[in-house]
Amino acid sequence: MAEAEETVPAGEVLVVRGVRKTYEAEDVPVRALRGADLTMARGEFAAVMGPSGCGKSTLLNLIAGLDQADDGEITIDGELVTGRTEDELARLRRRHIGIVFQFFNLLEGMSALENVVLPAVVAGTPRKRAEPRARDLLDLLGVGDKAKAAPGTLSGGQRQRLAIARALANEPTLLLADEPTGALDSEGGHEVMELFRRLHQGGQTILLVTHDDEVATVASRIVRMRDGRVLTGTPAAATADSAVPAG
Amino acid sequence: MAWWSGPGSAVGSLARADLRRRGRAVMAGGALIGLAAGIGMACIAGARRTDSLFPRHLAATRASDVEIDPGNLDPAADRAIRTLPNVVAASEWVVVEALPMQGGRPVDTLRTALPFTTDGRFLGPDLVSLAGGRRLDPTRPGEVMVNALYARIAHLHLGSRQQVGVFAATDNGAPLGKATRVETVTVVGIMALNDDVISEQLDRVPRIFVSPALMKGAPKSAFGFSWYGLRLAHGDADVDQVVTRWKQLAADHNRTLPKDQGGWLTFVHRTADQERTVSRAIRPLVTSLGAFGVLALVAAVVLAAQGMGRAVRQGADDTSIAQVLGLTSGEATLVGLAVPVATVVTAGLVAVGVAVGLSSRFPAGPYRILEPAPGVQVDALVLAAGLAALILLPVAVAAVVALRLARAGTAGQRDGARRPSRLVAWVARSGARPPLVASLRLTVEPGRGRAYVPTRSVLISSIVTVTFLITTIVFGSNLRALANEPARFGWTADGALLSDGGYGQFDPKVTTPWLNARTDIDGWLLVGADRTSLDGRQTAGVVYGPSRGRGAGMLPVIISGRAPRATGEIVAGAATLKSLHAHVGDAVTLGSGAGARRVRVTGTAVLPALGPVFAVRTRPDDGVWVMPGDRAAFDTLGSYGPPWNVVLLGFTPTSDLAVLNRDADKGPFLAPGTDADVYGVIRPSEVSTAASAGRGQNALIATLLGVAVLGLMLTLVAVVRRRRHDFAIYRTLGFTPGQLRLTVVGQGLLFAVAASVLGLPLGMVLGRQLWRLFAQRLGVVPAPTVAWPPLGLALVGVVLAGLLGALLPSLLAGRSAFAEAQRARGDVRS
Repeated sequence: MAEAEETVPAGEVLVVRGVRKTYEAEDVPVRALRGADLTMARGEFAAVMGPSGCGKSTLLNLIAGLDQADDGEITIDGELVTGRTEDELARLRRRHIGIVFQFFNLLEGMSALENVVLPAVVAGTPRKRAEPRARDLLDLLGVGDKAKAAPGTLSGGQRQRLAIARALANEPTLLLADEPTGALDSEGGHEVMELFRRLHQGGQTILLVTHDDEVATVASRIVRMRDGRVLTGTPAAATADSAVPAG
Repeated sequence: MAWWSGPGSAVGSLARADLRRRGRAVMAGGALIGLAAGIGMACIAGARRTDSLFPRHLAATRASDVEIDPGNLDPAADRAIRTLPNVVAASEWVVVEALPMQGGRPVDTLRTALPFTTDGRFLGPDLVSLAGGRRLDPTRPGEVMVNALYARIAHLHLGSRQQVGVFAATDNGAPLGKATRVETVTVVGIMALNDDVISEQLDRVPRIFVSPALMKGAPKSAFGFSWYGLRLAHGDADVDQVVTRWKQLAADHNRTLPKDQGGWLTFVHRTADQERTVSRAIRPLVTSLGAFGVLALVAAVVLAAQGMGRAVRQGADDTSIAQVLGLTSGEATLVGLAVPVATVVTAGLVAVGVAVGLSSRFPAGPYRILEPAPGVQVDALVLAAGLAALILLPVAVAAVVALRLARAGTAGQRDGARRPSRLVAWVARSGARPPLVASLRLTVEPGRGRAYVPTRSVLISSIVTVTFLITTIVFGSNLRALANEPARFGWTADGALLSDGGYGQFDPKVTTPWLNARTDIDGWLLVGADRTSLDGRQTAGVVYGPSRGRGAGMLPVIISGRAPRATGEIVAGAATLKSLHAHVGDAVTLGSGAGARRVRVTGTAVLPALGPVFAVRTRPDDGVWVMPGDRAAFDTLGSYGPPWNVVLLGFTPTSDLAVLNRDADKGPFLAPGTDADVYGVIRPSEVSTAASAGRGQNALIATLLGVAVLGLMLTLVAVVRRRRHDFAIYRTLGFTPGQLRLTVVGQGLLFAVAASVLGLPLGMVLGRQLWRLFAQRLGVVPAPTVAWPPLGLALVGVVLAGLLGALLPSLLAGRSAFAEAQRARGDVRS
């Protein structure tokens, strides 16, 4: 850890250096990442964009510790992600990572409140302290009145807001979102992006993967990927100006 | 922060949520598995209870160690018997001339019944069992007990009243005089003496137990044969000494009598012999019950293990999400185990309830009445072992699956593709119909991630089920062959003629002309059957004499070596030789005392059940075939028994057993006052029990097919649900709903055919081997037979089971909608 801390510039929450990942699909090797590099400062909101198969989701999975890189190094808040066991990665996620999926991945057997409480309890927060925070988060995200509801009874937008609340339960260093509006209608999508904007304003570091230019406009920086490599990191506004509106 | 209040608490929350969500499945699955396991455990416990029944009965009823029949009640014999060495207690029962009356005369149809009374025996020592009512009060002359056979013949029931007259006996069957006492008696109990329960066809006699109070003051001649039950200081260990002493006393006493006076007899019944006989008779029932129980329990455990693996995989999405939220693989494994553990614990509770509830149905079979402690019984050993198997194995399987999934962890959501099946590719290239290819693909490719269905393990369990099924059928058809082909238990004649229950002799000079004159008998063989010994071990023996027609072929069935050809050669039952540690070719000592001689064993045979009633008779695997020249080695029965006391008969197609019986009762060979009986096939009790045990086969087949249908149905439902996306794609490729249904039906058929192709030969081999072992233990001809029609029917049943199991899932598949499947694919709650 000490070595990683020495190499991480101050204020940088995420450092991805020379990450490579190849996996097999239908017996064919797919080189998903071919030496990706990325850094994110604390409080930054980056949107990763690129064509299908460019490695966006693979990069997100590697940062979240959901997959192992073949080569390269990833650090979050000075802690090395790469080269850890599954259990070490699980503990790292408790401290640093919140994840929002395209298809919510909510636990249907639990109420909305329990879904939000769970990550905090997993991280060791006493339930008595986790519950009020979970209620606050639900209120903050506009689903406070749905605390006792089962996720399956909520609309798509409400479900995604619930998923975001859950991702924020442990006050993560880094909030990761993989196509968070992909399963929502435009109204739900706007609601969710507004939430991300507010969270960013509140200082939350966010890394979002999307192929939607309109969604990317909410971010402070656009990270473009192609063929397994990160190409650029440009301010979002510039991209939005030149973007073809999503149809 | 303690683990319990942190991640442990989260594990608890997730487990509770999973249980809430799948509670009904847990209850239903647990109840189903528990029912099957409970039946299995009940049968195993029942087999143990049945197996231990007779020894427990003997202990509970203060049974005698040996029974001696000195002949007619005689005060001198009574004194001698009671003072034999090591006798702790002695009590007797005695045959009396107390006959049921109607219109002032004894009832003819009940003349063959055995009326008796006791000095307290069967009311204290050797306490009689009851099928109903209570034991009689020995102080009340108006109370009687009858056995079930007597009740049936005399049309009596509890509370029935009947007149009984006490008579003085007459010599040689002369008509009885006037009754010395007539009493109206009431049937207060339906009794079951040991002989009533464990006896074979030959020994079944209607009995009426009259109160000692009724016989008070009766003439001395009203008392006939007496049987003394003796309890000895060291139990069976003292029996040889007591019997030897009694024989000496009887011989000494009889020497003092005129030659034409019978004197004291030396008939002896050893309780240990009876125990062996019962044990042998019960064995097939115990074996089949135990086997059924084990199969049911194994089926339940396999079903549970399979179900638990499936349950873990069904919950894998949630545990995977929980891992994303920070649960370690160990914690995720614990979450994954919640439903399996709850299910098998539910199953365990149900199984214990079912097993204990059904325990009152055991012991099984005709011996049930002897149970000293009827009702519910908890067999802690079986319950503990059954529960351990039912819980530990499935939980272990679930734990392995859960751990593997947890170790795969979050990677489970993006695992790579497996290599497609070459078989499927080959079938597809060969131009097979698309639904068949789809069926095959869904069967041999288990899918991955949330679409994973353990089709391969279901295929293996289907093969195991069909193997069990075929094994059961092969075994059952051999049981049926045993019941229907008497030669398999050594009975090579059509029937047998016995005089005075086998104690009367057939003089060839008067018997053979009678036999030869009959047109309904086409062969006969004179047999001497009685007790002898081999190397000091008591056993029964047969010696074969003159024959005619088919009679020459009515010999025991040789299973190894050869038949005896000359004096000094014997053939023995397999169990007899085994107990002596002797082999074919060995020399053994036949008989005892003056008649003892060394003879050589030339072979082993399956022997017919022959001998006098109430005596030790030859059995399929026990006894000895002796040449006429060695007849002196038989124990003497005084004026009874050999040389020829049984006639084996060959019947013509027109033979009528009733006519033969009627004519035999007037036969010239009969001694005055005796009668004759013609029997058909005489089945040893173990063969009768084995045949009756075979009737449970249908239940076992139904259970196995039921388990197969259920397992298949659950699997195919899982296939349809978890691989709905595949079905949706098939639909977009042009499959009609009918073709989708056909795909699932085809899958059911593939399971059935694959299971049959492998299960048939495996089951046949296993069934034949099991039969050989069983037949060898039973002592019958071990060569297995194969009945093809039931096997064919079974395979048709398996295919129908495949279709039945696929019916409901195919209907679900037919309703697959692409859009729904696509939506569901994105939602882990699909």
